[in-house]
Amino acid sequence: MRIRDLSIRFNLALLILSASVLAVLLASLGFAIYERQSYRASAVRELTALADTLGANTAASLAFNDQHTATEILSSLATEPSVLMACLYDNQGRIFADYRSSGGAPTAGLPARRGDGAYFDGESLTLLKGVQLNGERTGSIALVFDLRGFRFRLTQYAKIALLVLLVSVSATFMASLHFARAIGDPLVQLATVARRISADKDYSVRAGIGSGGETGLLVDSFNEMLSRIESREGALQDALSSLRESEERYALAARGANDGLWDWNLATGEIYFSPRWGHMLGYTEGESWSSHEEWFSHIHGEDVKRVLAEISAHCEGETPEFVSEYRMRHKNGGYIWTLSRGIAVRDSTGTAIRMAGSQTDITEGKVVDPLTHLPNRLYFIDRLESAIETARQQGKLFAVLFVDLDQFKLVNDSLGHAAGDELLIDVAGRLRASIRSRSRRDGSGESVVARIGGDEFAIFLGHIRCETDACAIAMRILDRLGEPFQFEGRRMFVSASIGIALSSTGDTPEELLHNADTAMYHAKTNGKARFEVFNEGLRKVSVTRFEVETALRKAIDAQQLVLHYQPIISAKDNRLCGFEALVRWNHPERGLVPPSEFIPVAEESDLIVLLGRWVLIESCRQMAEWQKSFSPGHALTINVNVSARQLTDSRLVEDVEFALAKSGLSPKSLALEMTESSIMGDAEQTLAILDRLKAMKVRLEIDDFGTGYSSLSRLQRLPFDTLKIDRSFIRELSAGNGCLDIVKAIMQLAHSLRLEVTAEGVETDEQLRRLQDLGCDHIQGFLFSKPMDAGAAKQLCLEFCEFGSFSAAHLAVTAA
Amino acid sequence: MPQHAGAQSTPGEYQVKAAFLFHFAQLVEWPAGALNGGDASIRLCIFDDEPQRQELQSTIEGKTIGTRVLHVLVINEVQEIPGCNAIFLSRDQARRQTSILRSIAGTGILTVGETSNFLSEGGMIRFHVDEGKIRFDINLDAAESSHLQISSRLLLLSTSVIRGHTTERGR
Repeated sequence: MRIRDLSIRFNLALLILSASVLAVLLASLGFAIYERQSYRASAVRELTALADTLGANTAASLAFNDQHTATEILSSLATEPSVLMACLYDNQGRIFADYRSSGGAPTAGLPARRGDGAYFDGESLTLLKGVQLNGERTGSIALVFDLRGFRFRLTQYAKIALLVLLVSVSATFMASLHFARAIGDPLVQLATVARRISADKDYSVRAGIGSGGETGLLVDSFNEMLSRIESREGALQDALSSLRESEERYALAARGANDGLWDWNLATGEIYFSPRWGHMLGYTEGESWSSHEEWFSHIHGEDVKRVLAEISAHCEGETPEFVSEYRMRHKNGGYIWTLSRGIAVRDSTGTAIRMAGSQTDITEGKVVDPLTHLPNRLYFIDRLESAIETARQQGKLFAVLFVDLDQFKLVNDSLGHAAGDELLIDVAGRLRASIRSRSRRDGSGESVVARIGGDEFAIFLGHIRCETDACAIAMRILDRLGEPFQFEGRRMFVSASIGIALSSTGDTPEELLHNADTAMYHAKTNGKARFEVFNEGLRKVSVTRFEVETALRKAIDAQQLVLHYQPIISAKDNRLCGFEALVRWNHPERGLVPPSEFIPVAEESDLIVLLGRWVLIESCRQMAEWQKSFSPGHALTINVNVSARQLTDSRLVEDVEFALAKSGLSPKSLALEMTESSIMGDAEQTLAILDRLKAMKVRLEIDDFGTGYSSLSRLQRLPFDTLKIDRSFIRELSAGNGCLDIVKAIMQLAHSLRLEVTAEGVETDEQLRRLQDLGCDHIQGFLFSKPMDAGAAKQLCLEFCEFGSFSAAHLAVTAA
Repeated sequence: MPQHAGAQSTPGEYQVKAAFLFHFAQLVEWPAGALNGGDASIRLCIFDDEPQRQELQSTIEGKTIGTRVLHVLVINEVQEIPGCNAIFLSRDQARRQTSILRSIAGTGILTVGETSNFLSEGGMIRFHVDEGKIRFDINLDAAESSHLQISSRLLLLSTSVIRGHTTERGR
């Protein structure tokens, strides 16, 4: 333990004690030295006086050579116990007389004859002095003085000094205890208080009242300091707790938001990235970045210029905040989508000196479809990109499938969006299942199902051997989708059209997807619920749905649409009853485009409403015109097709009113045809629209009957006038496969419901005869006439007026 | 140092007595004005016919006592004595010793002799030989009657002192 480690009280006591001991020792030593000197001096003085006296007394003895007297005189020294020896020399240096004290050592020799003076020899002092008789030197005397007497005196002194030392030490010890306490106690108290404070952090503790003087001042200052610390501590604690609270809140929010944070000192270039930032990009905390270059170098090449521009725009004060979505390279080599936000801190001149903000991983929002949880178009394109790269390097083949639901709009419009969403989720599940079973079976390539549009799905099939593999998958998908869907206890049937593009047909994701889309469109125009494989020929003859949609929209405005009319004949007497209006697209480059190519496209968009309205108005106008020109004895009717999409739109009623009012046509001369499936939805709205139309006396016909799933009770409630048997039954009428019985049953059913029956697609006399036998009311088909343009139709009307009725032969001639 | 001492020429009896005479002069105080005024010398008279005159004279002539000089004055006549401060009478002067002592008693002249009756006849200091050593006796009364003060140290060394007609044995 070192001295500075001891307590201040002990130190003080030690200091005082050692000072007093040292003082006493030094004083004693000095005193002893002084005593020795003065003892010697006095011894010399004493001895000189003695020598003088003896000299004076013995001078005469010497002069008169009286040794006896001299010896006698010397022997008087017996009264001086300190004088050990005395010796009287005559002028020739001979010993004249001598003396030895009884205590003196008898063996000690007489002092040697030396010059006058005092000589200290160890324990003795020898004094030599001349002896004179009235100024005449008669000899000399030597005296030997015992200095040992001084030792005795010194011992006495030492004893006294020791006593003094003891007294002084005990006195100073008592005094030091007092002083040390006086000085040390307040310090010890201060130390204790300080230690307690540092241990308990309780700044309300105070040291005792100071006793004045420096110590008191120290205690007072200490207490004052404590008061300040206490108040400051309080303020600090308040500030800290509110800071901690806000920090915790912030940390919680940051964690909850899953955001990475960045803080960029623009002046020094230093930049801080929070750990979450790194995790987002696949880096551990040890791999944290420290420069903005690292940040920017990880941004996707296509985004980095824009991001830098956005940052500098905000720094320049052009934007209120920096907000940017961009891709960043993940450690695993892929890219993630991030949303960065930041705000600049500016100095007094408005210059940005610091910028801080957050970064969120929005990849999922970016690449995942929130409804079906399938990857989205963005992801799919990204995936295709890397697949193309891999395929190029390894020479592997892969395929892209474009899956589009047939009549999805119908479901959405008739059953509502909830049903549509459910359907999409169900479809997504089935598509995934189809792919999974593939992967499970041959373990070949990776497969990805993505939702790339409303009812459009795309499938990536990695590593296929040939086209057949892709076709097998497409078949499986069609099978899976062929199973009925359930929605609120109701079964629905949905089909899909699939386009397949092999990787060999394109170099970019967009091109491949476009090719698949083209093939899908082809499948759709070929009758839906099927798949087509893309080839170069397809590219030339076909256009995509998007192109059709765009062109069709223009076509309506540019009056490229025309109506063709197919006669409807009475089965009993071959009279002309009316026409079915059929829309044709007179494309300036491609000529007449068949409705199967553009009606499905129109049906899946709002175009069908526009198209339907135009058809309605034009049909009514044309029929009104013909009715004015001819008066065949009974009014011809015009049949107009109404799509399911139109039936969900209340404007249909207004459009019908408008068309009738504008043309002046009687409502009874207008028949609206609608398919079974379009009216069998759950929409009460549809029923209301039908009732209103019926109230207007407009005729209502069910189209394509037999292909859908009509409920008889519902059929009974609906205000229909005519039922149109689907052409597929008519075509098979002579095939002997039961179609005849079905048609017969439909007839009986229709008639029992007081509905008239029209058969369409009648092409042979036999079909006509059988239908007539069954009591069919109206006939429509190539047997009588193909659809014809307005001019031909007008001609037909004229002839009808002339002959009164059709004969097949006649019609055949007309058609030719 | 017997060898050393022996090597020296042993001083003759009268050489020693001459030294004693000198010392006597040192240890005796004459009354004021008794000594010769001018040169303040001390005159020691010896009769011319003293056989040892030469020896005495050569030993002490011209020695100083303090500021004074000791002169040995050789006289022939008794009439010359009053001019002396001290006089030595050897045993050869025994016939006129009595008359001389009587005539100068109380005159302040120190008298030194060597006959056995020297003191009883009024002499002041008398030599004698004791165990081969020269010693002396003092007649203090005679000295005092001449107003001579003899130093106590001299008295201390004397073999005997006569005072008030009694003899005090010295050592």
